[in-house]
Amino acid sequence: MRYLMHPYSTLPERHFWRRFVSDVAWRDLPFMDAPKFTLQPGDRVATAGSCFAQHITRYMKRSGLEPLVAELAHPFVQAADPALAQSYGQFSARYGNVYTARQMLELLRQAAGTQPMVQDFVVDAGGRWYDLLRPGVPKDGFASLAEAQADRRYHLRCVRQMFETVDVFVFTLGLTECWHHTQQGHTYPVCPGTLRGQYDPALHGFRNFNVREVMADIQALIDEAHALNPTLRFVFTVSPVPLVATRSNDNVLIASSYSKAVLRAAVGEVTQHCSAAEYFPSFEIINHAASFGQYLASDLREVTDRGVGHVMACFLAAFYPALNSGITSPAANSAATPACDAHPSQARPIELPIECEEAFNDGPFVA
Amino acid sequence: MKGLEEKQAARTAQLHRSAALGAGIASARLPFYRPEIGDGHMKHVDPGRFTRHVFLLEGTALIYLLGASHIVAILDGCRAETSLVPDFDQSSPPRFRDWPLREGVLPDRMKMASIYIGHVAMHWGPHLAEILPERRLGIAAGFQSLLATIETDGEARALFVSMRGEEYFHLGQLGVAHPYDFLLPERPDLALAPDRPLLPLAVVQHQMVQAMSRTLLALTAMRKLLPRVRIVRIVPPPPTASEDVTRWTAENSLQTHHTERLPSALRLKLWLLYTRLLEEGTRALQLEVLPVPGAALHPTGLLRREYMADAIHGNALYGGLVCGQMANVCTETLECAT
Repeated sequence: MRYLMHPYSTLPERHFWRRFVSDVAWRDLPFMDAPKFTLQPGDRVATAGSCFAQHITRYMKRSGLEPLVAELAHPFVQAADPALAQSYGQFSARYGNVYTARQMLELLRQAAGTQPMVQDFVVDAGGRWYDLLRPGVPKDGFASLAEAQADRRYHLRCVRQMFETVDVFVFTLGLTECWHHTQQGHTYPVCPGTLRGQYDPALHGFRNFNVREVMADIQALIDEAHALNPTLRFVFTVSPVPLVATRSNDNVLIASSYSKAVLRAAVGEVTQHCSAAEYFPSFEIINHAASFGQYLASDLREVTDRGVGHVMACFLAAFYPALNSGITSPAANSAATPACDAHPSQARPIELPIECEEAFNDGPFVA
Repeated sequence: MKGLEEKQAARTAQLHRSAALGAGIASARLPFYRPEIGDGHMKHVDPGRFTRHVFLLEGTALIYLLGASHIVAILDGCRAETSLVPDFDQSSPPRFRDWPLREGVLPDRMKMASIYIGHVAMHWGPHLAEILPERRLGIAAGFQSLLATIETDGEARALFVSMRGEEYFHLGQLGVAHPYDFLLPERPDLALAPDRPLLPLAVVQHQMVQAMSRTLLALTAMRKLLPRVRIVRIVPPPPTASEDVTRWTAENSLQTHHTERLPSALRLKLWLLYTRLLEEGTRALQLEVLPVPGAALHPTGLLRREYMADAIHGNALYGGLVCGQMANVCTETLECAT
């Protein structure tokens, strides 16, 4: 008997939906079964990105891993203001949330000195100064403009040091929509007027990046970071959390789909051609239809702790194969109950940290 | 006529300054406590409100000098040729001793007592004053006895206090292992070190207040136990520009071996912050403040090298300038009385 061969006939099971997905519990799917590279516990890992990225740092610590923190809280800060001290460790430096690839690229350029430090500080009615590129850092602002400027100069030194010394940079892309300064050109994490500052239509312009722009920004980020650190590797993820609000003409659901699709496609395209960059599918673990939305909180936007746990268990299993992370993979089923019907105790939303500045897009206009 | 008017104006200003004592500065957020009666191994003082007193004394009287290492320069600056070196014998508890003065330096006789912390600890316990449960102020029994000798002395014109005064220096040394810098609004000219993390002023101030708390508690105890005595806090000298001297002092007084040099701008900012908090705290307690003699200061605000004993202390030349200020304080009081 003679079997006819075709391109699929010799592929392993992971290439076939029925055998890889349909017949396997969601929790048991090896989402990241063939990473380009793996990590050792001693590797220096830095994190940045949208709100969801903060979980990476948190879960790495739970597993006994120490993410790189290039901008540490001084012991005096720990003694005087524990809440302020805690804010230092959420990312590897105090950049707050970095939602877009363009924002990350501009931050790198300022740190590397290839772009002048952006001067965009505002003062509130109480005399406190804020950095519009880090409107939540620190939460209570600075005592003076000079203090705000000096702090950011030091911050940029830390970011540069981070890129120069880190082994792996994990960046979670969150948005394609952003606001920029129409005259100076720099990109904001959130629109001025939502969290800090005042919105000025003449100065603050809206922008929704397309896939070519995001690809170019990611590629530039890789290239320019390699200029500081040639052996640096990248792990890109796409936040599974939809937009709080859209300024595009689409409704927020369609706009979210566009944004995530662009980010996912851009990361896929860049990482496909870059051996030093890998994609990690946190977006798929949470958002794919095959998950039945089991990790969504009751607002169908936020991700439950259980979902974050699943993502991070996969992350650690994929990149740290020798490590017993201690994070139990949540008991997810392929036919789990959708979140909208879940008992509140089972769909516990994660606590969004204050640094999730995007949340202020759904707030009152600050006049 | 003009000179007389100026003199009268100066007297009026002096009285106004006295009237302003104890105004209290809430923004300093210093840990002041109202003394209350309590139990324990330390004696306690009666509760009550601090009251303002105007000190009008006549004729030659007696001044007291109380402190630790900083009094050495002052004693050297006013010593009679027949004076011995300061007797810091620690075998017996601290007590006031006569200090023969060089003629013409001070208008009054002087008694001095050294309260080195090691000396105090040996006889009275580790602290002159501390906060006991229920926020009561406890004062070491020996310290109370020492101050009581002033209280019962009808001649007492003033008590000059120069205890501690190196807290800012220690805070600076902590910045060697854990570098930091901060901005002082009143001195924007003092540059930041670009490679040091910037701390909010409030954070540094919090640390400074913590470091000063023992000193302020001891001053609180003095004010409470000596309500009728004029108490003048002598501000310690500022740091010197010499980074080598600073390092030498740190290595010899703190038994550390730091190799990094602390920027002089940072050391000066710490001292300025320290003196501001000290002044606010002491004035809130109705104590007066004797500032650093201007002649000893470099235009930057640092101590001139010729007045320096080490990175923390002034020398005999510096002490002589302080004695001149002390004499002015005594003279002003006399003028007010006549």
